[in-house]
Amino acid sequence: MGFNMENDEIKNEKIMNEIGYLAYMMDTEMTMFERMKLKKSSFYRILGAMTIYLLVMILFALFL
Amino acid sequence: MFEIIPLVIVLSFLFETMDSCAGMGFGTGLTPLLFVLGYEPLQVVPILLISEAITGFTSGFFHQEFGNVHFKLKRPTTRETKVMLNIAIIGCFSIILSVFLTYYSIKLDKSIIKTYVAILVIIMGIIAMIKIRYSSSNYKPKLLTFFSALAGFNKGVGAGGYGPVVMLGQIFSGIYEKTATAIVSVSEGFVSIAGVLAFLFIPIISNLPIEIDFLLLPSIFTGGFIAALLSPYIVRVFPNKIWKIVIPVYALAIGIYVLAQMFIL
Repeated sequence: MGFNMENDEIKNEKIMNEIGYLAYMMDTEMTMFERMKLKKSSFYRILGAMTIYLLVMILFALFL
Repeated sequence: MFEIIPLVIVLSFLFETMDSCAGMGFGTGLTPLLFVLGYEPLQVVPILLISEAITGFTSGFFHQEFGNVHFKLKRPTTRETKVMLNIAIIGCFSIILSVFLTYYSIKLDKSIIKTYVAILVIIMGIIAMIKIRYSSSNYKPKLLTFFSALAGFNKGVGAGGYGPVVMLGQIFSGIYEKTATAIVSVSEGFVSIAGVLAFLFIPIISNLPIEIDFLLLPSIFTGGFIAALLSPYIVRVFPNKIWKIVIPVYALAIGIYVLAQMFIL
């Protein structure tokens, strides 16, 4: 662990700045099944990334 | 020439999956295999750098999206962002030096340097495995700077092993494993961009011909890109205690793999 979670009185903002805070909280407060679920926006971003991949491959096919 | 090579896609996918999950192994693992398949260094090295630049940032973006890390460029920035920039800046200088040495064919005894890097990675892997039980440690920025510089030096002299040393260095410095993987992915993206630019500009400045063969790019990019989307999700889903074991064991395997290439192959 890269930070001391026992220090609960530290302001939220300061804790948020600690290294690995988000990942640590996800591990401790969510079950593995809960971590498998993704937000809708994440699906759209994955779709966006796949679209960019297809465009790049078309560019490769045209110019390589 | 546009060609899709299924074996290269599979290899690229496997090594990039491990690279984005455990923070190491794409260059160290894939490069010698592609040489064994008969590809030339100038067909492999710049293409791996281009691919790693794209997949590093893609993987970093999705690590952030899935909550493995919290990067923030606007002030006040996060410590994760500062650590990533620290590692990236040292790595950028090192890779420019490495490309410079490659182009000017400055003779360094590669076998001694590679043996040293392999032994270093094996020792760090063993220490990390011993430390699995002792999970709690505070963040040590000076130790992290030392390991970044050490990894940069290794890369600078062309010995590779940048990922394992930076990754294990972060863990020794008290950084949470899941976050350390995300930090390495993005910093490798920056380092790879510096490498690509060095490959393009050093020969231009020195009036040497640029020799890059793009044959492998579509295949390595395909395998690497899919892995870069999938790996941050795998890192998110599995608990950190899994990564505490996987990372040192994989580092140890990479160290042994490099040693085996030196003495067996």
